[in-house]
Order: sequence, then C-alpha cells, then structure tokens
Amino acid sequence: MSNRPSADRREWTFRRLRRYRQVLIGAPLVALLILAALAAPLLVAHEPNTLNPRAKAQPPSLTHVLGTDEFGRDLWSRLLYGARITLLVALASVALSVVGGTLLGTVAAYAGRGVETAIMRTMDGMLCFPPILLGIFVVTFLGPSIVNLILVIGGLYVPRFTRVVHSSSLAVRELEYVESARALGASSLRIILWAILPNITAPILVQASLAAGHAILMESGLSFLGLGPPPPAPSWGRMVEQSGRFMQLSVLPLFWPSVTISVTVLSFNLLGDGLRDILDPRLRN
Amino acid sequence: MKTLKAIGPGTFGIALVLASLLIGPAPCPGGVKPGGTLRIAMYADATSLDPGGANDIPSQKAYNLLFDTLLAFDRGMQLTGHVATAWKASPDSKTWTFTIRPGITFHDGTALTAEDVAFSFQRILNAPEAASQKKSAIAMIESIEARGNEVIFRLKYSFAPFPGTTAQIQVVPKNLAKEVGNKSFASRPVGSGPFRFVEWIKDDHITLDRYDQYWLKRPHLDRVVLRPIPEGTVRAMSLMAGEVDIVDQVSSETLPRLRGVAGVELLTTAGLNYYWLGFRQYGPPYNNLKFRQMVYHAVDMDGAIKTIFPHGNAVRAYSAVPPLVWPNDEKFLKEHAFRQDTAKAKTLFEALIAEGVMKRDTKVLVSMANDPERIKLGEILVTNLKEIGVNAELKVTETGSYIDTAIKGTEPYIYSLFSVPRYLDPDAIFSWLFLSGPNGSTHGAKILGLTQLDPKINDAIEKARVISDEAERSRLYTALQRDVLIEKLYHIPAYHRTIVLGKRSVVQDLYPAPNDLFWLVTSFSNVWIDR
Repeated sequence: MSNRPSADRREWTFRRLRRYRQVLIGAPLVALLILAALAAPLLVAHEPNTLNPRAKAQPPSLTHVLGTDEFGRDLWSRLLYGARITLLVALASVALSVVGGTLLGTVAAYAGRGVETAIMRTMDGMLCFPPILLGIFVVTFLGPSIVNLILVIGGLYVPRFTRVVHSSSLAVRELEYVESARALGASSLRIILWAILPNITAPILVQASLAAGHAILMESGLSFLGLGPPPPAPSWGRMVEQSGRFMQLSVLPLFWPSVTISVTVLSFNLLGDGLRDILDPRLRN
Repeated sequence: MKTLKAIGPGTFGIALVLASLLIGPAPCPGGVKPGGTLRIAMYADATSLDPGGANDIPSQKAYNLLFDTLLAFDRGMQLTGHVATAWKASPDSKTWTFTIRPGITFHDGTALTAEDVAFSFQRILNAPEAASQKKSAIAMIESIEARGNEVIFRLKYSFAPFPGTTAQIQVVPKNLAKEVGNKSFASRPVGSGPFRFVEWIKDDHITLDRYDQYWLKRPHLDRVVLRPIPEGTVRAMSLMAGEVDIVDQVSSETLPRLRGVAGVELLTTAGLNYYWLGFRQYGPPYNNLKFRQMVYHAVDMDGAIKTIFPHGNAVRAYSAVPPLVWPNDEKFLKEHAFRQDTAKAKTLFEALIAEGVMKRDTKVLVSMANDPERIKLGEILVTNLKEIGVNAELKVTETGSYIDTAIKGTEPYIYSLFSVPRYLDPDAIFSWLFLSGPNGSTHGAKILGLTQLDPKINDAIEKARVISDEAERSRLYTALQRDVLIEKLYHIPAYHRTIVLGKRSVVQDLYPAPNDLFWLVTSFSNVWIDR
C-alpha cells in the first residue's frame, strides 16, 4: 500500500512487517477455516450425524481423532461440518448488512435532511438495544433456522455499517473531485457509485471483517440458547451447550468447539484490526 | 460394601466389620438416635402448602409431611388404611363408606372427625375450576355425608378405583379452615401429619417441626428443612459437601460422580411414570398406520435410551402401564414391540410414496418440549428417519406452550409427553390417554387427536371403570392396550424414569417412593440420623 520512498530499506521492511503482522496471522487462519469448511467431506471419515450407540463419549483415537460425543457421533466431523454452518451464517449475514448498510448510509448522506434524520435516528435506536437480546427476541418469533439466523444477524449489523458508511460519505462528499464531478453534471447515482463508494471501501472492509467475528459469536450464542439451526445439525454453539452438561465427566467434547469458536473469532478480529492499521492513513506513521 | 461406606473407608472400617461379624448381627432398633434436623434439597420450591390448591410434585412433597389422607400407600404402593380404618363399597360401586380412626388430633389440638374429612373433599368440589387442580380427580363425587364416625360418598356413576383417588386428598381441620379462609390457611397450614408447619420463606426454605402427638408413631426427627435447589449439579454438590442430607431427582450427569463419594448413598426405585412418542392423528401422514409402522421400525429405541440415560436411570417402556400398576402385560407387549429394521422402514416409506400418502420430500415434524432428555430423543428419532430418507425436522418448544398448543391445536406431528397416574389404577392411565367422549376428550386424548368417539376404545374404558371384578377389568385393559399400542400404534412407548434419591449415609430408614414424595414417617419407616 505504501509506496513512500524510503531511505532505510531495512527499517521500512521491519515497519511493514510489524504493520502486517496481525494480517499475516489472521488472513491465513481465516483462509484455512474457509478451505476446511469447503473441503469438509474430503477431510472426514464419518458422517457428522451418524449415531453410534456402541461408541459413545469416546476419547480421541485413530478412528475418531477428536473422540465422539454422547450420541457416538464423530466430533472432528461435526466440528468441520459445523464450520460450514457457522461460516455460512457469518459471511452471508455480513454480506447482507454490508449491502443494507451501504445503501442506507449513502442515501442518508446524499438525500435531504429529513431522510437523513429518519434513517440515522432509526439506526441509533436500533443500536440502543444489546444485539443478542434483539436476536433472541426476533429468532423466537421467526423460528430457528439457518435462513432466519442470517436475516436476523444481518439485520442487526446494518446500523453499524450505516453509520460507518454515512460518516465516511459525509467526509468524502465535500472533497474536490466530488465537487468537480458534480460540476461536470454527473448524476447523484453516478457520483455515489463512481466517486464516493470506491473511496470508502477501506472502512467497510475493516468493519466487515470485525463484524464477521461478532456474527460468529452471535451465531454460537444463539445456538447455545437453542435458537440456532435445529438439531441434529452440527453447530458449535449447540456442541458447547450439550457437552457443558457433561463437563464433569469429560472435558474434551466441550474443549474442541470452545477453542474452535475462540480461534475463529480471534482470526477474524486479527484480520480486521490488521486491515484497519494498514488501510487507515491516520495510523500510517 | 454399604456397611463399610457408612462407617468410613480404611482399616478402621474393616476392623469394625470384622468385629461385628464376630459379635453377630448389629442390634437394630436399639441403635435409633432420635433428634436432629434433616435437611432436604428439592428440585423446585412448593407453589402452595394448601393441599386443596396445589397438585404439583414439589408442593405435594412438602404438604405430604403436614397432612394425612384417608388411605395411604405401603412400600409396595398398595393402598392401606390410614385416617380410615376400613372402607367398603355398595354392590354397584356407587356408594363408598369410610370409617374414621378415632383419637387423631390436628396440630392445633382439635380432634379429627368425619366432618373434617367430608369438608376436605367438599372444599375442593366447591372450589372454582382454576383454584383447585384436584377438582377433576374427584369430579365423580355426587354428595358427601358425615355420619357419626363414618363418611359416605355417593358417586355420579359406578367407579371401582374410587379408594385410590382418596389417597391424594388431604384432611384439613374444618373449623379452622372455614374461620381463617383458604388464603390464610395456605400461609399457616394445620394438618394432622407427622410434622407441623413452622415457616416458609418462598424460594429459600420450608421449616417443619416434629408433631409429638402424631397418632401413627412419634417421629424421630426434631425438624425438617426443605430447600429448593433447581440446578441438578448444585444439588449434587450440596450433598457431597454435606450441606444437605437428602437430594431428590439425581440427574443423569451427576449420578456417576455421586456414586463414588464416600458417605453418600443412592436409593433407586422404579418410577410411576410413562414417557412415549405419540402421533397426533390430525392429518396425513401421521394418521396412517403404515407411516407409524415406518417410524417405529426406523427408531433405535434401545440405543436412544442407552444414549439419553448412560447410567441407567430409566428403563425402556413397552407398556403404558408404569411398574407397580396392574395389569402387567409387559411380556406380551415386549415380544410384539417393533425392532429397529431399516430395510423394512425403507420399504414402508416407498409404499407410502407409491400410495400417495406422502411425497418423498414431505416434511415430517418431530416436536419436543424443552426438556434435555426428550430433545435428545427427538434428535435421535430425526437422525434415524433421515437415514431412511425421510425429510424429518426437529422443533423444540418451551414446555408450557408445548402442552398448551398440543391441547388446543390441530396440527399433526410426532410428539413426546409423559404421564404420572394420579391414582394407582389403570383407569387413571387409560382414561387420561385415550378417552374421547360425547362431552369432549380428556387432555391426553386431545393431544393424540382422538376427538371423535372411538367406540372400541371408549367402551373398554367406560366399562372397566364401573365394574368391580378386578380380573374382568384386567382383561379389558389388557385388550385395550394391545389394541392401541400394537394394532393401532398410537404410541411408541419410550421409557419409565427411575426415581433416584441421594442421601448421606447417616440418614437411616429412608425408602425411595415411586410417587416421588418423601417417605419420612410412615407405617413402615421412621427416618432418623445416625450422628
């Protein structure tokens, strides 16, 4: 990103590495998770839902690398297939909120005062409620399913993106090149699409990777409360909830999904923080 | 081993056992040490201590220690005389006469009379529907008369199992209850039971003290404190830490932990309950026999029970009749129960599609109340159904609305419920589960979707409740049960939960009760603490 000519090349490399460090850890981890989720059928020896009453609650072994749960289902396989659900929910809901937030944010910044007030105050109102409470409330009404989770989580993060996009657009709107575009007679839509949006992608990208981490936490939390995809679908939050009851007897079935959730959220957060450090010009020096 | 545990591990214990072997069997009655406080942890607090109002198990557990009933249960859950010394029926089983034991006094010193008994029943019959959950249980009573030391019940129809219903109506003092009113009586209940009321701090504790003049025997314990501890793990920990002496409902997760603890013992007994998977007959494919056969062949019930109850605190049910209730047709029903047979289930599935009863992708809904054990059962059933290619889906609903929508709604799905007979007679089971009539169906029958009169089922139930010949009644119930469970497959029997009581070894002479109450002072026991 930085093409600043440097006098001391070694110092420059060091700085760049330090700046990229978080991304260098976060990005490969995220990529690995997505790859593992996509390749899940190739990486497991057992179906995630196959019951095996003869192999209940087993410790890790050669046949079951992470052991089995109380139903005799392979934990490794359930973790991988659970990643599919979790990542699908996280990425789809973030995509949804990016689209919704960008739309509302730019409209608020570009349309008249009345529209702006209406949109932004509604968003402020939504931000007043803890998202998990709103999530529980809405999912209870809609009923638990993957599609509903995406809609709910996606909807809950729209205000964040609206605010980010709105404030960035307000700043960009006043810059000379937007003014010159307007002077040349460009339409509002054209200005938003070609002059403003390309210049506010950085904060959206940063916000999106951070929101993905939050969305994963949210999905796990709702699943933990029994509001995730209905069983027997493998879901990390539910795995934590179910194995938590047996914590005193065996810790491993609780350990795997908990660690997986933590690592996944951490890698998305590292990616987001790293991206912000790189992309935010104010943090460059 | 038990003796060893009670004394404590180590050489000292072994030496003592050896010594007692040399001396001979330990003297039993002389060793009783009266006095002390018994601390009990219950899974929930009572809702009311007025026996005319509340009928939930935690309330029963508490007020059962304060009050007496006309008849009581012995260890084998057979009815015995209690406040009543004798009882007899008219030949048509429509008039029942109970003779009241003389010399019983309430905790306030007044004598217990036939008037009090009549009043205790009348009070429930007169109560508005919402105020007494026991009203429907004795709704067959037409009139009650107290005559000398006798109470005469006249019923609306012949009802052979009537004595059993009296075991759940507690005798309250007429004058006091009338004088102070129901609300005030509930806050300071006065009964004739082995313990008298001291205080109740809601959601914290109920304290009861020994009633010295208890007619049956003088209780050994000075005081009983009942504490609600809803979390199963916390209950187990409190027992292990010695903070309480008895805990009820030892959960499947904590059972193996408690098993190994010195100074703690577990008491188990077959529970008076019946859990089942049912098909709501409100629409296709659930009202199709082949569909029900397919589900029965698909589900691995033995595996499911091993998974849900890895430590054996439930047994597989083959019959709707829980252990201890007659008629026992377990052998026949077990022989004719369906075994898991995936190939057969698949064939039936194809046949159902060919016949147009369902499509290959028809959603089969398995709906469960929010109870961890039954959610697991649902999870296993859905997985089993998916294995044969059925598009099954599990839905979990909060328990209160689960039962409510099941009673009021007409949506077909596979459900799971449990029942505890209100009296130890097959009528209590079959009428609740299957009786539909011109005047409406019982809740159990409504949930099942039996809203139209089924003459075969109804005749059997109506006939069996009015005749008094037990052999003939047994024959009718057996035939009925084979019809609904084997021929029609309305239910797939799931399991009977075992009652597991945890106690510190110092607690003596305690027996687990199949009806899940606390038997502290009974005709066959009198709990004491060996401090």
